[in-house]
Amino acid sequence: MSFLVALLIIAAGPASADAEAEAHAIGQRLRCPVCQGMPISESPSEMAQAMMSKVREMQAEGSSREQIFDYFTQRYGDWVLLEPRKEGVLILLWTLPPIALLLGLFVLRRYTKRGAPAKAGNAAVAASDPYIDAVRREVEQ
Amino acid sequence: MHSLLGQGAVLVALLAASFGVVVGFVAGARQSLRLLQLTERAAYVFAGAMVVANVVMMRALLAHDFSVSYVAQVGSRASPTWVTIVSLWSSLEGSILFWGAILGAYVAAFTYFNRQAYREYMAYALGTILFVAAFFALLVAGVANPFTAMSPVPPDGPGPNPLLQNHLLMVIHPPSLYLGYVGMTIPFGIAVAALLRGRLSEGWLKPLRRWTMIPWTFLSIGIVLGGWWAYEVLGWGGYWAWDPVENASLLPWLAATGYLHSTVVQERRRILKAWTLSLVLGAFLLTILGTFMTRSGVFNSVHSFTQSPIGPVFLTFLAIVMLGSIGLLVGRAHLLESEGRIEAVVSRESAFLLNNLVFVVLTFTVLLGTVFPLVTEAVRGTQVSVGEPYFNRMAVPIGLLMVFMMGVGPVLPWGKPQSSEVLRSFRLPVAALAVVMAVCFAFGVREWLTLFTFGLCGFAMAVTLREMVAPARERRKRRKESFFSALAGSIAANRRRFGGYVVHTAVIMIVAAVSASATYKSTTEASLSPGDSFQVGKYTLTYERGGMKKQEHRDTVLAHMLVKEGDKVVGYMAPALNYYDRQREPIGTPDVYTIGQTDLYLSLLSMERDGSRIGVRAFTIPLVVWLWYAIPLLAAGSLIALWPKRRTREATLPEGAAAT
Amino acid sequence: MKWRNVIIAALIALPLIGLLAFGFGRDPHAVPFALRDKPAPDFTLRTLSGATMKLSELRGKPVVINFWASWCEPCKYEHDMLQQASSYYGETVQFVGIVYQDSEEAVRDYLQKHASAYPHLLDPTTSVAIDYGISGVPETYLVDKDGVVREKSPGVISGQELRRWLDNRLGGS
Repeated sequence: MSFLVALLIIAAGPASADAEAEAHAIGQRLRCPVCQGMPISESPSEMAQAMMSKVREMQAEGSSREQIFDYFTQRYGDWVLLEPRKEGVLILLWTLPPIALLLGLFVLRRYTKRGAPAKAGNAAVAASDPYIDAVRREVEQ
Repeated sequence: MHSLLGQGAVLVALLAASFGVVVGFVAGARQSLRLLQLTERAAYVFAGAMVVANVVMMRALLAHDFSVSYVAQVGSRASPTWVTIVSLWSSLEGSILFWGAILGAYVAAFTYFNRQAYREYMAYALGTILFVAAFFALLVAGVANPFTAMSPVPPDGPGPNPLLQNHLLMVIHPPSLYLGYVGMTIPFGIAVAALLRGRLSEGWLKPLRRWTMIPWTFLSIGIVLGGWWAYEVLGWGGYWAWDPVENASLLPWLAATGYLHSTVVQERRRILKAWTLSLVLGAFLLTILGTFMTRSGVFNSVHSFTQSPIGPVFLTFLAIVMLGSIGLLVGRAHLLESEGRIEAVVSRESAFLLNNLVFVVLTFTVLLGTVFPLVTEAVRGTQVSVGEPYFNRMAVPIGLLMVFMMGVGPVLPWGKPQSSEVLRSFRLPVAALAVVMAVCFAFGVREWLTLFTFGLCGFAMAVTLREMVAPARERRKRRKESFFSALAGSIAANRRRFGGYVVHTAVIMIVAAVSASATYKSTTEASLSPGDSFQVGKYTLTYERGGMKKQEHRDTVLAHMLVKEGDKVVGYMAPALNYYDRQREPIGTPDVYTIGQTDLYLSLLSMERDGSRIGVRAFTIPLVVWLWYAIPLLAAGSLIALWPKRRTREATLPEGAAAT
Repeated sequence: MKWRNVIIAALIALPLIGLLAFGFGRDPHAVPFALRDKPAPDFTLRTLSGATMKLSELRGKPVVINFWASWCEPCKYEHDMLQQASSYYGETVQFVGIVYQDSEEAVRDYLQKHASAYPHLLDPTTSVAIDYGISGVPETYLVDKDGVVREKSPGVISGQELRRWLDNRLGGS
């Protein structure tokens, strides 16, 4: 019996570093319920430690990352996921920033194009800073 | 006695500020010099009364006068003196009172330094600032009154939140942050005055810039100090967790940083006037939003104060200011027409525009992530969390874009550059990028994102350093000066530009530190009895014995650890747990030992009372110290940029010549 | 600035204010109750007296599960009420205490000084607490006679609330 256990431990050995890294990665996405917004992988609280053990236990039983997340969301709701799922209203969370960036680029593009034809007056404006122009000339020499 | 005196002072402050608002706006509308002088007096009276109120509170705290409600709430006879001082801003009511004193100091300084200048704007500016002041005075006099008399008088108090009396950084971190937050009121007043006057003259840009730089500097330092505090106290080896309150401090910083860049284009090309002012208004609004988040109890955060009735009052104020700002921009911004335009897509001005876009998008993203849990709860009634993984995923690419822009911007000339010229000046930074990446690769950096980040840092750093020394080199060649006198001369000739690049250096250091510490943080956990050892990276840590320290306000247990590298003793560490009377969960004091550029970070998780067994978590975290090194650099850069020019020079230069 | 920009600004500002106003109605520390109307996670735990107890074997009558600890101050406020309620409902309702992160001696010590009218189970690995989605103590759950979780009370439960829960269940059946 003890031989079998030893064998099991040896068999589990090489994979355990990877498994621990995976457990940590999962833990980083789960919110500790007794702390404040901290992931269970970081919190020193007993609750977080116990949840980490649960993650490792499920992992050892062969559960996938999604299954582990499901286990916790069934109990704590989506609240427990620090990285929100990409579904429903939450899609806005993921898409609005890139949309804002693209929209901004579009506006900028139009703004710079509008000013494309150079006017004679602009040379005077540009020359209004003698120091910078001097430096610029010097650097470019 | 304290209670009566304090309430009296606050009442005087409230009356002075309200009086100043009315007189200030009338003075602005009528352009009356006499009324303006009256407004200035109101500002001084407000400042004086607020300072008096704070001094009274400090006296009450130090004298343990528990007849004052705030002292009864946060004071404790057992607390050491520094904790008692800190408790002035450790809890809601006191922090708002303290806020009032800082605003008083700012408004008095602003009035004093401009006592003979900008007469056409000052009345509106002071009126606006005093409006904000009146609101805070109203809070202190009403819903958040710290001076309420207690009856019966309790014999002792609980002391401030244990988490907040655990580190000396609490003495400087909150004041620095408040100086940043509160100071944003001044540029807000300046911007509103410009909009109300419908005119933004070159002259008025100067105080706007200067009075944004000052709070911006404090805010930057305050944010990094906040990270330092979290690192030294919270015990998880991190310094930033995208907590709502941390985000609240970042938001106005981002907007203000956007402003500091857009103002450069505005001065040079006379475009983007309305946009620049919007950023100033936005930065102020975000400070109010941030204060609201910290103090209303709407957001769950490590740093937030307990739930309080000030939320609705604050929200009303936020709504007034927000709608007022939008209204002003709508009604007045067309008066601030652009005078110049952009000539080429690839130019310094478009780089600045892109920079502004990136700052605004990042501000938007952080704001979105922070308030989104409220959105889902309102829309579909379920609670979600938006945490670190989301923010990291969004902010990292945007941050990298910023570093890239930091390298590209200064290289591009103003106006209509020739492409050959532009390409030539990219040779050095691109070479730096390649060299840094190659060297890092050779030293074993294999994560492509980290490698790329370091490369970009090298790219931006090369440009920054070149821009810092290039004028000096030229000057040396021409005037045959020594390098140092040439450098000093070129710095003196354009402090703002040089200071800006010093700040860029600090930011690049921060980016490199964040990247390295996030990628190469390693964790080991161990359960030890005296004599046991465990390995952390190349260090062997031995648990020697447990210790105990009884203090008046808490009991501390510590684990004495010996750190060895091979057979060589490196040092001793003693992570600790502090037990406070009124709290079951102890609060840790991790121990940090900086060896070279790497921190060895020990956090005590548990300890049997007799020291027979401990649980520890050990981290090795590289380059975190660079974050703290960046603080003096940030301060120095800002100081260089802010340092006033000698008057004689100023007289000989044309208006606007100081622009970057 | 054009009207378009105004509209954009208003579109951001107004909902933001609305949202923040909405925020007052809620407790930011609340953790959702996801197990409502879901089958109760089963458990087999050891009682203080050494016997084992399995939740699924209690089917047929409502079960009140109270998570508590001797170090938890608020738990003391509800302790006596829960003992009295257990005596009052007698055989019709099963009360169960589950000890959360506490030592066996401390619990024994506590129960010797205070009344104890129902079994207290030990959960040394905190796994049952996690199974129920605990976010601190005390927390009380109601499992109906068919083994479905019906109610949750985060924090101290009042006598009235407990009565409302149980009278609903018992009256309905």
